[in-house]
Amino acid sequence: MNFWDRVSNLDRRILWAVQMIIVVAILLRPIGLPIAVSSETQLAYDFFDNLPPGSIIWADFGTSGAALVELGPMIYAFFTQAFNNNLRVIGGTLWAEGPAIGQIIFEEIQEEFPDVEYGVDFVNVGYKPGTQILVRGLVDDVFEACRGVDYFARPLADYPLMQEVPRLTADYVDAIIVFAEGSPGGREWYEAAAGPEGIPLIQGTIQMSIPEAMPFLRGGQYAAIIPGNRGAAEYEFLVGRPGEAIATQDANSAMALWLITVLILGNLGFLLGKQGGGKK
Amino acid sequence: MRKQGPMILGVVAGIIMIFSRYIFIGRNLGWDSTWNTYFLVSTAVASGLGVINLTRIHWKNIERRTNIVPSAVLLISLLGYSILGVGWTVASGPARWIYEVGNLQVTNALFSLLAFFIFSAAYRAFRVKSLESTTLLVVAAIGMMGTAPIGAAIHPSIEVAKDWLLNVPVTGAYRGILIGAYLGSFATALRILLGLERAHMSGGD
Repeated sequence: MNFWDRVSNLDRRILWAVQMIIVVAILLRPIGLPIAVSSETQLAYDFFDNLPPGSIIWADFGTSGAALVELGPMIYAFFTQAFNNNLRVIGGTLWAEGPAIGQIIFEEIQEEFPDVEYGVDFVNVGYKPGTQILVRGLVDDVFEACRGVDYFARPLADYPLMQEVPRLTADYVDAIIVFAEGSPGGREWYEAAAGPEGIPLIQGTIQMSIPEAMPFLRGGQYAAIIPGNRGAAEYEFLVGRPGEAIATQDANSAMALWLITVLILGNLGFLLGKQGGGKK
Repeated sequence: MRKQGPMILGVVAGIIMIFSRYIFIGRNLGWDSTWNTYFLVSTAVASGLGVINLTRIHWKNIERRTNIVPSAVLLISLLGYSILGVGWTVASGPARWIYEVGNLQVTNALFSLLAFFIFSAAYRAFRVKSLESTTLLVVAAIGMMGTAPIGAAIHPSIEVAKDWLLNVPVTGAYRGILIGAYLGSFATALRILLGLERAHMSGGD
């Protein structure tokens, strides 16, 4: 095995060790590279910015702990923008873990907005099974579809915010935002509620699902998307609440550079070594 | 009758759903909402059935003394968390504490490990072996560099190229895949409604 063969077959433990050192070093000493805001994120930010105070947004925190690193910062930024603009939020999700995550983030954000009150500015109706069938049920009757109780099993009718939203239609809800780790996600909400009822739909998506969301954005079915971890950083920047997503962008840059370096080395090794027919 | 029964049930349910969802009279009769309730009840029953089956299988494992530890952990988690959830609701109390300090952190950490595996997999897979693999390598490199802020810092055209890739070829190809998938689903649904599709009823003949 010559030098180039060794380069083309580096031990993955070496790759991982360098990867870890780079990420930790960059997180401890960020470089602060500028982040340009994409048109997609700007569209989402402008949409919520243009909603009149008091507007009601239905939010699906469709994530588990796995995608929290991407969708969590988006949810923080969304709550910040919503409560800065006096928008009201109803959380109702198609993912079993979603309500817990939404509630944890809401309670943290509530410390920054002491005037925000559960039941008046935010209600968490929790998880209900049924995907599109549930969403259709919400369109017909929110109270019946939610069995009349919220995430804490308290009566929905007791909350002033819920008294204004008997049905999930454009008459009562101004927008739907879906923070989607996967399926069910934006597509299910679009097919069962946003599309038929004419409610604008915004999707916060993980990096991996951007190609899946793009046809719906370009086709006009989605009003906007917040694309992945990078989109979350842009959203944090626009909202003026720098958080985890912005903090990780330098690490993303360093990782991309390290991977490109390794790919170039690996391919040089492949071409110049025995495998690629190089000098034997 | 073992096959005709479910087949007739499927056809009748499908026709009623179409009638209640897409035909004006059906919508006015409110069948849509009634059938939605039936569906939700069926989902709950199916989930309950799943829990019973899972419990049976892992209880047998413990009795036979095979895979005792994983089976015991699964049963304790499943039943214990259910009891806590029913007792205090999952929104507060010990169920929420376990979720926050346990489940949330573990799933987060496990998913983060993917970054390492994807890295080494990319190193081994992205090789200039053929025109196709070279194209994949170039597109992946542009996508990666264009998404990270470093791409624009090196040259603004990297981000422009990434946006073009995402907006034109990727969106076009994905739209084609989606239309194909929808047409496939429609054809399958039609075959079930006509009683031609029987693969989902155990046999396949």
